[in-house]
Amino acid sequence: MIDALLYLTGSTIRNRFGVQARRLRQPRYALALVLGAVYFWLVLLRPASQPSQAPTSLWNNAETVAALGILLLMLGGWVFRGERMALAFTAAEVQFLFPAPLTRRGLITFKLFRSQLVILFNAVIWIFVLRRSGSVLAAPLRFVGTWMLFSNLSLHRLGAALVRTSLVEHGRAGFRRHLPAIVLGTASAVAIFLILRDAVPAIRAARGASQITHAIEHAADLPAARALLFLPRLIVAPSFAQSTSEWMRAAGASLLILLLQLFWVIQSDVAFEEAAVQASVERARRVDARRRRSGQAAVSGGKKVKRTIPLRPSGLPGGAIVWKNTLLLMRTGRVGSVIGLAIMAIVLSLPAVESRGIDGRFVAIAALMMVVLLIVLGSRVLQNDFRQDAEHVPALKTLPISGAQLVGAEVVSSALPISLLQIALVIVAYGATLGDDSLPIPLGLRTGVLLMSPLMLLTINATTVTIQNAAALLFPGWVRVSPVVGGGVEAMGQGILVTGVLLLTFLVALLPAAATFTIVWWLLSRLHNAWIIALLLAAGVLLGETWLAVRGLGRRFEKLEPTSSS
Amino acid sequence: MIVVDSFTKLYGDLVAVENLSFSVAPGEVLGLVGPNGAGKTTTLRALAGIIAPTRGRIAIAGHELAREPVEAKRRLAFIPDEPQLFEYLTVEEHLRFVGRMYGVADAPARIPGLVKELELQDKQRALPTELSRGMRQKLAIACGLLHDPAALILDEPLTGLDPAGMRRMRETIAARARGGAAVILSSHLLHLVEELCTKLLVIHRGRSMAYGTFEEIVAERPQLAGRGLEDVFLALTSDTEAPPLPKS
Repeated sequence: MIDALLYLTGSTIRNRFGVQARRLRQPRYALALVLGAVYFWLVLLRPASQPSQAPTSLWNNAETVAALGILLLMLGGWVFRGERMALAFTAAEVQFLFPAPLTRRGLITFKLFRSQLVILFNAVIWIFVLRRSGSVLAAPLRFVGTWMLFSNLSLHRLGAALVRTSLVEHGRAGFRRHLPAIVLGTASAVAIFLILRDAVPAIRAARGASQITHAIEHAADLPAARALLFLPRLIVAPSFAQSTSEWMRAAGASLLILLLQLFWVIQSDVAFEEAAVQASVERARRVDARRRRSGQAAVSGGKKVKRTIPLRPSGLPGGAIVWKNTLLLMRTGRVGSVIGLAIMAIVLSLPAVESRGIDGRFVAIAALMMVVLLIVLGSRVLQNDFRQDAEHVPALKTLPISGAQLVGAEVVSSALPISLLQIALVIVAYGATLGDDSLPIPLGLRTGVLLMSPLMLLTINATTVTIQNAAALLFPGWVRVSPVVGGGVEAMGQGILVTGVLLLTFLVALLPAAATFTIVWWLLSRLHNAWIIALLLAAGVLLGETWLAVRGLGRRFEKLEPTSSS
Repeated sequence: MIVVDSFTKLYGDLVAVENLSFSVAPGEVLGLVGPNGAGKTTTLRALAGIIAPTRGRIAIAGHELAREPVEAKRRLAFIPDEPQLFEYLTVEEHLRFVGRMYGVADAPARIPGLVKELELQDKQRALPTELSRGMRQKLAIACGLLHDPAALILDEPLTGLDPAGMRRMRETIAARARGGAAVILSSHLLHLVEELCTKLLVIHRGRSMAYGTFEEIVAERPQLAGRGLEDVFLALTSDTEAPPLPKS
């Protein structure tokens, strides 16, 4: 039976690579591969000119931060449902494997084996990404350490998902069966309460970033926090070891935790079936939606629709696309998170606005950092555009709308909500520093930036969204939109690489606009507010570039043939 | 109303459809039949503008799909065998979306009647995930009919419908044709084709095997005289020598 499962995995991988390789016969895929290879070399393989050595104190803090991150991700597994998707079987797997003479334990093992492929691949990426991090360990040791870290994390979150499902499905019996895990979970909750009770007053009393950091460091040193971070510290320890012998000791402990968690997950087979079925149904719904070209977003079945947005029967057809995508945002809760972030930022800024002190600057910097973060990641997270409509291509192609209009409407669907959130954050930053006369940037300039921000942000977001839609339209065979199985932190390596490519493309697209800004500013340097004119012209150049790209992508859409999947 | 001239579609070296020509006038219902893999879906998808012909010309209501795709599609409705719905739009919102997309100014007035006709009035605020297969099919049909298309293309329209729904669907297709629409109907249900279609196009391996009214097709093949559509279909699409026809 194991042979059959190995054969299934091997054939799937081989055929998938075969399909990808055949795509290289097309010039655009071949060119993309060459550019990708150059990018990989520059980012991952290029030898470092001066190997950097991080200071020991920084290294120690990084270890604590990493342990804290691991702890949060582990706790997240108990609160959220995400990792259950690791158990999601495809429709074909359900059809062939569930009725097959296999034990449930065998199926779990199969799934764990499959998830290892992603973890191993990403562990390799992380080794290259972090090769200049200052670690003195040899690459194979770093690889094993990273693999154990991700595997531990993945297993813990999977185990948590199984316990959750078992409790829901089996009530008291499930409670007894998972008593040790429940005791540990409860102890963690108590520890968190104790930490918060002691730490929150100190953090609230702190003034300024350094005091807040100090308060957080102090909180991490509390006995309850030490107990809570004990396991995460053991898990991350191999990645932060300073010598081979230290690594050997740390790896032993990490491996032991890995084996214990593996045992925990495998013996949870009572909950497995329910969890797997739920996850598979969820997955099947998404896959079915994709295959039927009827939407990729996971809308909870049975959830009644209460709110809608009016749509006039006449007007630009592109308006209907934006309307449709906005409803998707509303109904998948993604708009809620966007609005929630904005409200949170505003609430946070209120006391700062009152105090008009250094806290105001802190809030302004935080808000502006979030604006930048949204430029980089906003459209990757939101995907409220062609990427979520990619499987609707046959339906979209029958609509009486030109390709350029359709792509333009899809781009607006993502760029507009991101821009609105960013504008809210800019307003927060402006409001937080309104009474601060000691800032190096005068109020007039800040007001100018505030007034210019809607145009600038909308233009920049339209460009980044267009780039990401271009990837989906030009390389539909390579770009996986809305992944069916949640990647988790262990798949973050791939995400970092993709974000790097998109950022690089964005910077290249920005060059003409930057050149325009520089030239115009230099030419009009005698004028009082030359920067405004320069910025407006630069925005115009970027907008023009984006418009041309949208038109080109529109033509590409018109030529796109769903059956060719090229 | 629908004119197809020398339509050919190649996928690499594979000839999916070769040199297909036919036309459907207002009020006519053309039955497109053929065995699995004959090229029916490829033809329908090309007619709907989903894929482009490698060679040949397709025109809808006088507008060439290649040159004026938006104008051609405005007069066209394609109802696929698998309903292609947006998972996050309700039944009513689907119709509003289609109304705006096709510029149907009186869509708000048309929607209640159409919803009632297709027995979707209790499901207006339901998402497609809450609908049965048949209901989803009805919604796809309602979306196709809202803008009163001059050309109607249906791929296996009865799939998933209950007997009452099937009857109503047959009546709807006939009524649309009587109203002046040019209809193309692809189905393996030969009794449906026999009942509704005024003309037939039999394709096999991407090529036209027969085109015309049933009587014309039989008249050209004296050996098929007196046979039903099923026998004629099997005789026309058989790769080997046709099995002996049962005595009727």
